[in-house]
This record gives sequence, C-alpha cells and structure tokens, in this order.
Amino acid sequence: MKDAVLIAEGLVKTYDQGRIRALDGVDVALDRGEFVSVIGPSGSGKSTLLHMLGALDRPDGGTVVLDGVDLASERRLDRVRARSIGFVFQLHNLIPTLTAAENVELPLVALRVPRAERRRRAAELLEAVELADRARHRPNQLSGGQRQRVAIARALANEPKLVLADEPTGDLDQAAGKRVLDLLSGLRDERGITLVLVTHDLSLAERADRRIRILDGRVVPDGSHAAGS
Amino acid sequence: MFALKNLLRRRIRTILTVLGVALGVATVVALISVSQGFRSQFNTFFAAGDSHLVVTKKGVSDPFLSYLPEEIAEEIAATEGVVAAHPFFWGLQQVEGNPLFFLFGVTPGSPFFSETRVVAGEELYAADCDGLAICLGDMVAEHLELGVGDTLVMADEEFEVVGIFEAQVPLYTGGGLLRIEDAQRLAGLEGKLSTVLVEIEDIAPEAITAAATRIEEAFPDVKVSEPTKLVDTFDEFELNEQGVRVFTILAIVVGGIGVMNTMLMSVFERTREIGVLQAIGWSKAMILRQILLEGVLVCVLGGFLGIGIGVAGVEAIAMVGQLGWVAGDYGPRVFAEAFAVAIAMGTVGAAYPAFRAVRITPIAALRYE
Repeated sequence: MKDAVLIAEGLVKTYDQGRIRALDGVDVALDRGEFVSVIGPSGSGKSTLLHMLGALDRPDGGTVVLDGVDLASERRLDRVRARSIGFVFQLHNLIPTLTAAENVELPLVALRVPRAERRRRAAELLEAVELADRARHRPNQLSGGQRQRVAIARALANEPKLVLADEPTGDLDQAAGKRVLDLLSGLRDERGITLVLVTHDLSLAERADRRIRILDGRVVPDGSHAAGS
Repeated sequence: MFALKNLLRRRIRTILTVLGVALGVATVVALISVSQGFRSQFNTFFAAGDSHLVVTKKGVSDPFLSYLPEEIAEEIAATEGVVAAHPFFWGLQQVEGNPLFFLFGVTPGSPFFSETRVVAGEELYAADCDGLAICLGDMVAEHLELGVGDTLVMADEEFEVVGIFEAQVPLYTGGGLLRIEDAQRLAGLEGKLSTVLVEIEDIAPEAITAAATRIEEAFPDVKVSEPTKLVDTFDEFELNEQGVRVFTILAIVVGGIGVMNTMLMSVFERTREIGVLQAIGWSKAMILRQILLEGVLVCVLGGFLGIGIGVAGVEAIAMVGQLGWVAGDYGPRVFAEAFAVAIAMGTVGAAYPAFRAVRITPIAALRYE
C-alpha cells in the first residue's frame, strides 16, 4: 500500500439491535489522490460505508484509520470532519439564508479561521468552481448545478484530505451533472485530494480510477453483476 | 450575523416572540420602577423640614396602620435633647372623582410646610377661614378642577380650598394639608396620631441614635427611625419587594416558554441544516452556542423594547390625574434587572431547544426529508 489516506478493516455496522447488518466486514483502502467510486443498489450499504469513512458515525466492529487517526477511539469526530473531510451531498444542503460565499465559509468557522482569511479563501474557491460572480447570491438565486458547485467549494474549504460525494449529480440534468463531475475530478487532479464518489450511475462510476462494488453490506468483486436486492 | 439571519427567516414569528418578551420585561420594569419610586417617595416623605426622627407605632406592618395616642407628641417633646415633636395624621379619603385622596393632618409649624410652596391662596394656618380649611396639592387640584375659594366635600363636610401648593415629592401633591383634628375626625380616629416627627438638638449621627434610643426606652410602644430609612423597617415594603420578585420569576417563565416554543420550531425546521453543519465540522458546542445566541438575541431585542414599553406605561399611568403621584424610579437597578430578566428568558427558553439541536446527528438529519 503506497501512501494510504484511509484504511478501513473489517467494518461492521448493524441496526435494529443487530438484526440488520448494513456493513458486514468491509475492507477499504484509499490512496492519496485516488478517485474511487462506490457503487451498489440502494440498500446495499454504500451510504452506511460513506458515513463510516466520513467520520459521521462509528462502526460497531472493525477499524477506520484516517490519515493516522483511529476513528474508533477518537472522541471528537467533529474535529476529524472539520480538519480532514469534505462532503458533497445529493441535495446541495446549503444554508438558505446565507450567500454562496458565506456557505463556503462555514467549515472555516468551525476551524476558527479569522474572518478576513475565510473571505479570501471562499472567494478563491468560488473562483475555482467558476462562480466568482455568484458569491453574493443566495441558494434560491442559483440553479441546481450552481448550488452543487457551491457545495463543492464548501467541501474544499478546509483543504480536506478526503472528499466524499454522495450522489452529487442525483438531482441534476445530464449536462449539469457532467459539469459537476468534471469539476470534482479536475479539482482532485489539481489539489491531490482523495475523492470517493457514491453513485448508482455506472457511467459516472466508470470515470473513477477504480470501483468498489457493495452488495448486502459486503464488497464484491467488480464486474460481477449483482442481482438487485 | 448568522443568528440574526436565522431569526429573520420567520419575521412574523420572531417579531411576536420579541413582543412577548418585551411585554414580560415591560411588566417587570413597571413593577420595579413603581415600587422603587414608592420606596424613595416614602423615604423622602418624612424627611420633611428639620425632622431627624420619625416615631411610629411598634409592630405594625405598614406606616398607614400606625396609630399613637395624641398625648405622646407633647411627652416626646419633653424628652431630653428634643427640640420639637410635630404630630402628624394621615389618611385616605374618597372624594368625588378620586378614590385615593391623601389627607395630611398637620399642626401649625409642621415641617411639612417647609416642603410645600404655596402657589395660590395661602398656607393652611395663615388663611382667614372660619370654617373647615384645606390646602391642596397642585396635581390633585388640577385633577379635581378646584381653585382657591372652591369647596371640596368629604364625608358630607364642606372644606374651603384656601391654598394650592406644589412640592418636590409627588405624593404630597396627590393630597391635601388640613388641620390635624379635621383629618382625625374624617378618619373617625379622634385622639390618634399616625406619626410624630421629631427635631433633635444635636444632629451628630451618634447623638441622633442616642436620642432615638432614649425615646424608645421612654415609650415602649413606639418605634423610632431615621426618616430616610423608615420604609426599610416595615414588612409591607419587604412584602412588596417579594411580590415584585414573584412577578419577575413569572415573567421569566412565561417569556421563556414563548422563546422556547419559537426556538423549538426553529430547530425542528432546521434539523437538516443542523445536521449539515455538524457534517462539515461544527461541534455540538458550536451548535449549542448558536441556538442559545439566537434565543438570547431575541430577548435582548425584547429587553430594549420592553424597557421602552415599561417606561412609557408608567408615565402613561402617572398622567392619569388621580394616579399622578405614581412616579417611576428609573435607576440603574431597574434596567439591570430588566436585562437580567431578558437574558434569563432567552437562556431558559433556548436551553431545551439547544439541547434538542445538539441531539440531532448528522446522519439522521441527512436522511430527514
């Protein structure tokens, strides 16, 4: 394994007092700068995996080590998220009362970055997602694709090691979706971040360096077509 | 900034909550300022002229309930170190158009005369009046539309208004000065005094204390106080303070519930946003602070508004003629308490919503549609 950013081993996550095994012994390793897609039918456990990798939740078994930090024993997962992780969700999830620039600043508020620096960084990121002219617009004044690009800028604000995108194009038409994905993969190349894309769209998944296929809470060899669950 | 923007999302709801807080704060401001105003008025009331000590009956809860035998004034005057002892009788009388008319029964040379300045007619005992005479405070005279030479009827007795006076203490101007025997008769308490105002020869603080002790020793039935400390010695005022405190707590609870309702709705509406903020690295402490800040901000706005409403309310009451002697005391304590109440409402009201906000997990919030 060369220069791994994240190593997850034997991940188990159960719900409903163990009756539902959402993850059942999943191993994942992500290299620095790698673009990996996670595919699988809905209910396969791919969102649960994303939550574990993104320090949103703790596994019931197994370990996740992100950039040398063991998430199972880390008490402040919020700090891990603040420092090392960026999220792009299916719905943009921007704060409706804040402008595009203010939304991009939010992760930096968590890191107590001074205001002037926050502004500078938000402006730079909006430039990078080609929305410099929309910095003072509120989410409802932006198109779906533009909102998602603001969300990408927000995900990059803390200069994360790892960006997790959960169906980021799910709500967009094809052209806007393509643009969003181009942007994500371009920023990956430019900034050397590790990008994980969760999708059920195979054509999107194919653009990744490699694919991880999840079925019934396990990683299955890619290419074996799953009988839908 | 963020907090303000969140509050402006639901403007009407925020305005109503601010108003609710403001009314609570206004009530507290009005109660405290009026009760403080009473206190300071009563404290200056007996500090009339050269009176250094006030003698009241021992063991009564309210200076209005103090009754002393008439002879005591002369006996006190004969006590060592006493220059003069002025008998005083006060009562409340109902007159047409004013249910709370104060009667101040005085004797010639009473120190109350030095606190009043006759602006029309003559002083009570200087007037050439064969019948019953009264000298009215300018405020009550204006309210009752009476001038010098007019007649005021009290308990079927006709009093001639011989003079109109003005005074610093509003309480004086809400009543009338009359001969002490007339005041006693109207109250049906002939031979009784309310208080005796005592002038002391040596006014060094320790000499005043010594004189007070001497009088109390000579007359076991009385209490002797310094005029400016008189109200502090009566339970009635302490009770009043406690009443204000109870109202303050009630206001905090009622206002707090209003804030809680608003903040709880706001937190539920923003479940998803709160989850997103956590996902992008905001700690639970930051979420908690954010919600508390919003609650407190509502209450600070309500506090400012409430102080305005409260002061305006007291001034409006004071403009009602018969209650013109109500005078708000807007000392720093009133505003400090008003703000303390507002902040308490905000904290009490936002605490539970903040707790609910902190319990939102990012995952649950992201699933929340």
